[in-house]
Amino acid sequence: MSQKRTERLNFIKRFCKNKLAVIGLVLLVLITVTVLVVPPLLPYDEAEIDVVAFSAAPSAQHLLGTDTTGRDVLARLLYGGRVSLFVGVVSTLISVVIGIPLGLLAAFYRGWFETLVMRATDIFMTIPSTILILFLVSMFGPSIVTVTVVIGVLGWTKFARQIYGTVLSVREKDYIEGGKAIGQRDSVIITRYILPNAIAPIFISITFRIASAIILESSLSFLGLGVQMPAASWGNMLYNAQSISILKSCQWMWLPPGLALMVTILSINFVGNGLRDALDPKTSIR
Amino acid sequence: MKKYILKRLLIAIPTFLGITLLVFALCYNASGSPLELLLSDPNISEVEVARRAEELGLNEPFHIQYISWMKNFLGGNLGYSYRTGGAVMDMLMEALWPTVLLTLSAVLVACLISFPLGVQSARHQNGIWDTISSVFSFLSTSTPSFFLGLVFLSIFSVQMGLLPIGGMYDTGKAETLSSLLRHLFMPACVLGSTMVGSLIQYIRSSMLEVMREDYVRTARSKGLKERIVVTKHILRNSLIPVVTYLGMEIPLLMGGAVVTEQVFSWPGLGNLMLKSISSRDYPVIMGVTIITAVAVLVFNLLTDLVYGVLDPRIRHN
Amino acid sequence: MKKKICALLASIMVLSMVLSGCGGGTSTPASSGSDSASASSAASGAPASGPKDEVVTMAIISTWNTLNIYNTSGNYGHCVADQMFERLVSCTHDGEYLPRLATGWEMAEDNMSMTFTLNQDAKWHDGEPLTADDVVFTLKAVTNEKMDNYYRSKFVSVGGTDENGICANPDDLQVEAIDKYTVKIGFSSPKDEQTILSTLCSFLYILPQHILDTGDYSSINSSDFWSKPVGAGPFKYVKDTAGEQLEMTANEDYYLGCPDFKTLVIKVVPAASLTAGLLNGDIDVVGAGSIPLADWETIKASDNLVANAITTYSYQYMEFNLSDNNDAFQDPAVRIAFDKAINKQLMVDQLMAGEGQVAVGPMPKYHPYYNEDLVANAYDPAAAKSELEAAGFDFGRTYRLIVPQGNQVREQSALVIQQNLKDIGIKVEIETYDFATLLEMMRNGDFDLGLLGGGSNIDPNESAVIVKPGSAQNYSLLTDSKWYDLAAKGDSLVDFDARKEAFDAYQAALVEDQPYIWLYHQNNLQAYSKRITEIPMEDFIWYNYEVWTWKLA
Repeated sequence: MSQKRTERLNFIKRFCKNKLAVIGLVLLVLITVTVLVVPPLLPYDEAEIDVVAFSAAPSAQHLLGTDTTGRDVLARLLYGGRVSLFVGVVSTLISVVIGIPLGLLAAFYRGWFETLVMRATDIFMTIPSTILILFLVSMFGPSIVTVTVVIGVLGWTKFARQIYGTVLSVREKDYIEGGKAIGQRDSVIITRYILPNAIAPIFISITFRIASAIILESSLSFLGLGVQMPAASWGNMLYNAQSISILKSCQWMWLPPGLALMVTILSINFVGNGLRDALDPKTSIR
Repeated sequence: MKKYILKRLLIAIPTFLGITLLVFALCYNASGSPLELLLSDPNISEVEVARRAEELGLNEPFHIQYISWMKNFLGGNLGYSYRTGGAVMDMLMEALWPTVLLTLSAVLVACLISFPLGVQSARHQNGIWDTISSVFSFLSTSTPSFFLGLVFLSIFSVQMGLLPIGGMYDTGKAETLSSLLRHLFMPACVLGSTMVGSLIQYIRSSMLEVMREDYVRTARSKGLKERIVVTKHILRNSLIPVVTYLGMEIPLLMGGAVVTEQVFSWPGLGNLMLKSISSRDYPVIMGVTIITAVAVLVFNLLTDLVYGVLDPRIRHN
Repeated sequence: MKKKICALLASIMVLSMVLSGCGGGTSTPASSGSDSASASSAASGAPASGPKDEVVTMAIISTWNTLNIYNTSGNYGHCVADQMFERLVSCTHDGEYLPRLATGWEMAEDNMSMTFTLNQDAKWHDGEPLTADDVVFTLKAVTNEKMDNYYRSKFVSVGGTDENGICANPDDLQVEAIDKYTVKIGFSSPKDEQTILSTLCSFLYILPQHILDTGDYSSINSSDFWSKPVGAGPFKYVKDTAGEQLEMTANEDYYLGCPDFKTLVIKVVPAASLTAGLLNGDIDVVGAGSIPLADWETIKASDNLVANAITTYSYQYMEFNLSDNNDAFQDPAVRIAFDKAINKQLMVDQLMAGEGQVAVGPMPKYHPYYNEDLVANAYDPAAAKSELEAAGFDFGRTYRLIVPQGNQVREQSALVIQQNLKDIGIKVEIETYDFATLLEMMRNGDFDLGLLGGGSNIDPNESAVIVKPGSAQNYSLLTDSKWYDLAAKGDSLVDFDARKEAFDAYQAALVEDQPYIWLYHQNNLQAYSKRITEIPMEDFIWYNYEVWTWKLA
């Protein structure tokens, strides 16, 4: 068991040596804390209309100005951050909860269940996901819940395939045979031998999937099919930026959410890369 | 080889049927019937709405509607749009070529950027090219395409007036190649940029693996010029996984093009899909979904074929 | 009254300018008997110099769904039909009816029939003369069940039709060609002249008998005729791409004057792209739809464009769920309090930059039937709150306000409403849906408050459908018919003063009880290129383009 501990310590050490990864982690924590803690402290909330300041440039009252309906951009930015992060994390959780058990059991028990699951992943991966997401969201009516569920449900294949591969390679190993020989229950074999090896790569996939999910949600909201007004999301704040006049003269309305998206996703990617390099230095980029 | 292709085709057919059934069932049960729009018009009486419902076969049960849709589909008829009245097949064909053009141009742009960067960063690890390609890589995967599109528009169209705001050609004037290229430039770059990140990584790691192989060292010890070693031996062999990756990505790009098409008003399938969704134009929604699924299936098949050609081990297995 | 005379004089001036143009044509005054355009009839002998070899592009924001105007739903079919087909009369912005195919008309003494005299120079695009027989044929066809016609029910005033506008036996229809150029239409009951003209103007496009009369009206529905229509209008069909663009060429023999330019292209352009198109010259005219407010200053500042904010008769309103099993809003005091709580002026000032008016009732102040004595409830949140408390309103619940997607000002007005109601302690949740889903929800009573719009024509009776219990457009599901009865009474009278009195009472009742909250009338923001020097843009709101009067620089 102490071998595991040294492995873990080495992992953490390697991660910390990666400057980008550390910066990413710090930024992420900062962003998360900000969007969770600051909004109640602000003088405006996301839907409050300031009747004397429509489309106002940044000022002392409104640090980032107001949008075309008189709402404070900074407040919407932070509340929108909550929504974007929420959708990203929760939808990934949904994908994991669906994908991991399916892939795991398919690889462990094989047979008809395996064929079924693998065919299903084929079908899901064949349908162009954006089109399907657009379609599903419009059928069920756009909202935070629909978007989260749809993105979550359509993201399971990656996790299923990944754990399937890992389990397949591990299951032939001797200690599994040994465990079976001494009559250990399947669930024990899975949890004790298989899962620990599979966890790390899954974590990395989870990290990258959260980034993709955030991009997906913001794209949907940008198209008007995601989070609906009056709720804010970084994507739907950019929805109004499609007018030439706003692009030209009202940068405070669209640059902040776009940059917020970029910084957040960049941080997640740094962390993800850091995890990947820490796990297996041979495949590192730097 | 033939058996291989046949097997893949056989799997594709039930997949395709499953998709059509799923999509049709969703359309059938969705809220917001087009009849509601007719009913909301005070000048149209309920008698006329009922007549229209009869005409569209909207009162038939699900399986009857599905079967008649399927029959039409097999005859090449995808019905008529509720929104424009035009034949869905015509609308799809007209929108298909702009999307294909955009996707292929995006791939070209992505390759033009990624190959030099990927190759150089593999050859000179930890050098300046490596840093540049990492930067490009991270930025490209972290910038949502719509934001990049808006930034491009803001700089090149609005501020500098250099490139057009949207559309595919200059309207009202002749559809020239130069006008097409001017309109194509920004959307292709934006869409291509979404691929650059992972493509650079793929090229780099693929090359690194090949470079470690024995035959490369053999070629070098034979005294071959470095340039020939790189192009004839390393690149060719590292191409295989890259081509596979590209093959898988292209159909996904078609989905990603939806956002780009919206930002640049590019008249492709994504744009058509969005317009149809907002007007509940089910025949077209079904048409676009089906055609993209078909495109993906076809592309996957083609990729497998190319893969088989490039890698003799697959062919003779 | 003054406005009417001005409009009349203006239209006569326009008429005389038109008639003195190329191509010639007899000039006949409008039936109101004012000074005829005598000067022009002498000058029109010279042959036309022909249309200029120029292309004019008109943008509309949504597409027609077929060129068959009788089988097209939605308004955009009229944008293209107006250029290719003829109607008996055309309508100006203020509701004046001008001669088009009919040079004159006369209502019988007993108001039971009307006789129209047709212009003898009218010809179909294939050269055949347009006669009274074509008018009679069209009326018989459109009221016959075998021909697809969405708007059949509007022909209910023609004698011989049932309540859905259907006339089973064409011989029973009270239309008659008295001679080659005179048509008489009989009614089932005494009718007001303006109402009949309104119906004929909006819904009767004359079809060519010599092409479409096959003995079976159902052959018209999917006839090849519609892929290359032959009309008698100022422009002839050339080619089209469904959902995108229609190209037409000038009808040089047009009886009201040949158009000033050769080619008219109608393009479908989404509202967000109108500005770009106008600025770079791709679009010359905005034909239907409004330029987004954010771009309005840019358009006004442009040297090449003439910006035109046009008042409309459309109105936006908020409805309550008034179905019998919903108690929340049954008390008129509650609804009046809501009316006082909403800051409509803010919407006009900020969301429309002043390009609009606060609505008191469904008719704007410039409507011919507007009741000048109406007194609106002033914006008074404090009074609203105390009145709601006095009425025992339930402040504890959260109310659902459903909003259709697609109209930015309306979506923003929902936010203002939510804020206004929050200020007096009412919790409102906004839900946005696509239009079709929203209508379905309203029909099922699945809402508390909703936003919709109306005002598709200038009939004072236009808004009555939404207060008619049992009608398909009664989305508030109300069951009290008292408002509808007042409007129906007005509609049945034929004398203008009597009608005005009845409709005044209708409007007063609407304002007294507020079954709906009337929010605002929004102006259409449109523009045209300075390439065009004359263009009756205000008339576009009734899809009356009068293309033959446009002049290029």
